[in-house]
Amino acid sequence: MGAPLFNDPEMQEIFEGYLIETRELLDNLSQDLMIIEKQPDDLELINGIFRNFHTIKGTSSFMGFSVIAGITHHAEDILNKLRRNELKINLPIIDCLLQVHDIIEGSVESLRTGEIESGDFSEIINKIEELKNPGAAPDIELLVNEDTTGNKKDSSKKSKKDTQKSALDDVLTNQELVSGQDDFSEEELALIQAAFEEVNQQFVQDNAQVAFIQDSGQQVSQPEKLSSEPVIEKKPEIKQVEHSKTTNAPIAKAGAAAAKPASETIRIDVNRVETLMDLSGELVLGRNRLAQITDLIQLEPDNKDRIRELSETTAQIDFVTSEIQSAVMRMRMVPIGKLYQKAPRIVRDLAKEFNKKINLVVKGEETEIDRGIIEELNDPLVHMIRNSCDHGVESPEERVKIGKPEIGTITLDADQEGNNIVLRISDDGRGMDPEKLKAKAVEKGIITQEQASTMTSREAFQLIFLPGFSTAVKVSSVSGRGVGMDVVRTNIQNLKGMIEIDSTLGTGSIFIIKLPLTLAIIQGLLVRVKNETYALPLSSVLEVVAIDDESIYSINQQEVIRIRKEVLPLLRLDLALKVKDPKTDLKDRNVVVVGLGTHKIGIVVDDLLGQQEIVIKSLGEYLGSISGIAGSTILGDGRVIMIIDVTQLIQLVFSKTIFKM
Amino acid sequence: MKFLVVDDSPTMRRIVINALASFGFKEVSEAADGQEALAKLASENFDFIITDWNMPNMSGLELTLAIREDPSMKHLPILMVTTRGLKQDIVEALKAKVNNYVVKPFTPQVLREKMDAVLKSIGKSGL
Repeated sequence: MGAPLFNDPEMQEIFEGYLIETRELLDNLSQDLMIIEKQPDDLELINGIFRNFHTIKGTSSFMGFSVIAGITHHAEDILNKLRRNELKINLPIIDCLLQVHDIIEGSVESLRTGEIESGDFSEIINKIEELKNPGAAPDIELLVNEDTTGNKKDSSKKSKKDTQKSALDDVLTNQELVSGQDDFSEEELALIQAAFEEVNQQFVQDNAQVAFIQDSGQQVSQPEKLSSEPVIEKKPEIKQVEHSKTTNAPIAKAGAAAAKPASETIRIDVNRVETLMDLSGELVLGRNRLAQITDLIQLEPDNKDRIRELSETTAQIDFVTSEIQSAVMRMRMVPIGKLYQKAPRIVRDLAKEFNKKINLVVKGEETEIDRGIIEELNDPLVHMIRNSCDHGVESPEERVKIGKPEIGTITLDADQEGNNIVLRISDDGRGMDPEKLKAKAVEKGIITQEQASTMTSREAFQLIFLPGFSTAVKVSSVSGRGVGMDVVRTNIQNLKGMIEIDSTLGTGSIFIIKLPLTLAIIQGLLVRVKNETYALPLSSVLEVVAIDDESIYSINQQEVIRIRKEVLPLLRLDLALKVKDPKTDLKDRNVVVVGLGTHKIGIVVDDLLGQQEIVIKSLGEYLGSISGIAGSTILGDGRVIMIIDVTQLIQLVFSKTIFKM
Repeated sequence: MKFLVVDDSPTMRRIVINALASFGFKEVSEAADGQEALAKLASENFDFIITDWNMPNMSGLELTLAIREDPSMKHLPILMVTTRGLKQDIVEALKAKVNNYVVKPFTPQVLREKMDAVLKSIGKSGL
């Protein structure tokens, strides 16, 4: 039951809130379930886990998602026993709870895409039932008895005072009711309601006295109230901001194919919204002043004071604008911890799968990155962690034999360096053997024997990024459909980032991913080719050199340039972009050296114009994607210029030359 | 009538608030746990509290006990929302002097009936 057919916009809104909330709760759960494995006696943590399942169950049952509510109910049962110490936490229980977590996650995801929740989970439910009742438990009886004697004392006092038969006493002396685990029967329900009635009668009497005291003009209660109140720290509020994309679109109208995912919402710290409010206030002030100055200057165009005021105001608006820009950018930023959250679970499952012992160290979780980038990074990260677990870290026996600690370590690290985010995934495993990599590439026909023999170790490591290099890709429960390292690299390049590897045989490997802070605004190097201006993303520019005829020559019809001791392939931008009447000589032209990982090329341009912050705009649907062009931007003077796709150009050059793909 | 809805789940709060609105009660404040509720209670006056049981920091039961011990608030009717209609729990709520309870998931009608029952038995028929 419970198809998410929420035609009612109010219900739709609640449903969207439910999705966000449940996903957050699931994230908490997966983290807590990882920790509980190491701290099985942490009752606070067990309570937290229980509460998370509990909330999911409560809201899901309201939404009518009975499958989620049902399975969560079973998880809650077992947690209740843990909470009451009637059961000890163990690995099978954690496994089971993780499985329940996954099932809920899957169901929520299908609800989001507009599918109706379904599935047969009787197997896991049976497993939970088995774990819940590991045989007769005499301890439970003991606990219960203690509890009731306490209550009996309490009620016997009352019955002395009041000989009349009381429903409340009946309830409190009824052992079955006080300690019962089940739902009420009809009679019991009537009894309990009668008891509530009694409590309420007492309540009315008590309050009549309060009312009397208050009526007599004495505010007895006020000072007491203040003193008995706990000090409350106010948590920073989180505001929910709508991305109003598809807000009113009912989710699942037609089949799954036509179903639109729920509109995206993000949570933003209220402080950030307020900063933005302040800044926009200042922007308005600046604009007003500007308007005023413009009027005045029209009256007296030669007044030096006015002109000075104008330049001051311009500077102020300039300042506010960049502040607003960074404030808005920060709104889209989320701590990278969100991405790393899933890693402990992945490492745990993989270590189990491969029979290895692996410890995961996570550093720099608070580093912030654009949320759009985070979403795209998930698959590459999973794949690389998988690689480290599978190929990197050795088996415990092997590690002990070579004198390493039995438990391997995988480290995830994040850091901000200037306008870039740098992620490192490292392991202390066996490292990569460049000779083996070369041999494999030759065997697969990706490179020739000659190429292999001249290749440095660093270049050899890059081989794993070539399509077709990865061996039989195993399909695993963790990474789902296996992707090769080539897909990882492509994903990262699509994010305008790059990936590098370093490895030492016997001591481990490190993958370094460098990403821009945001995808929308970049520093651009403006260059001229014939009459056109183009922008190159500064993040991929390594250096700029003036052309010196002697350093240019040709290898296999490929123009190359020698810079210091390095030989780089050259690409003439005018030829690559098919500009009309390209210049033939290289005299007085410049070479911009751009790099992507360890691949570098020199791009020949006519002139260098300067550096500027540019906002990337897509080319729009009518132009679509054009090879070599990443997008466009508008310059201060209103001209539209193209932004060069450096990644594509490098790939173009390398596909023609070294690897002959 | 002014209501205070206490629940750690924003979704649950929305559901209860929507139900209250459908009964014509627009004056509603919310709190995410017992502590927040006490802070709200200290600065505003309420006529009715609907609280979830299981919440971080301070549970609905603890909140109830705190309210019942405070002479300035002990007259406030409290309706406890619980996911588990377990006997043990309800007896626990009864002992803390909750005025009544309602088991999740409930329809707006059930909520209304429980609220009516509470108000009737404490001699207020405000609904």
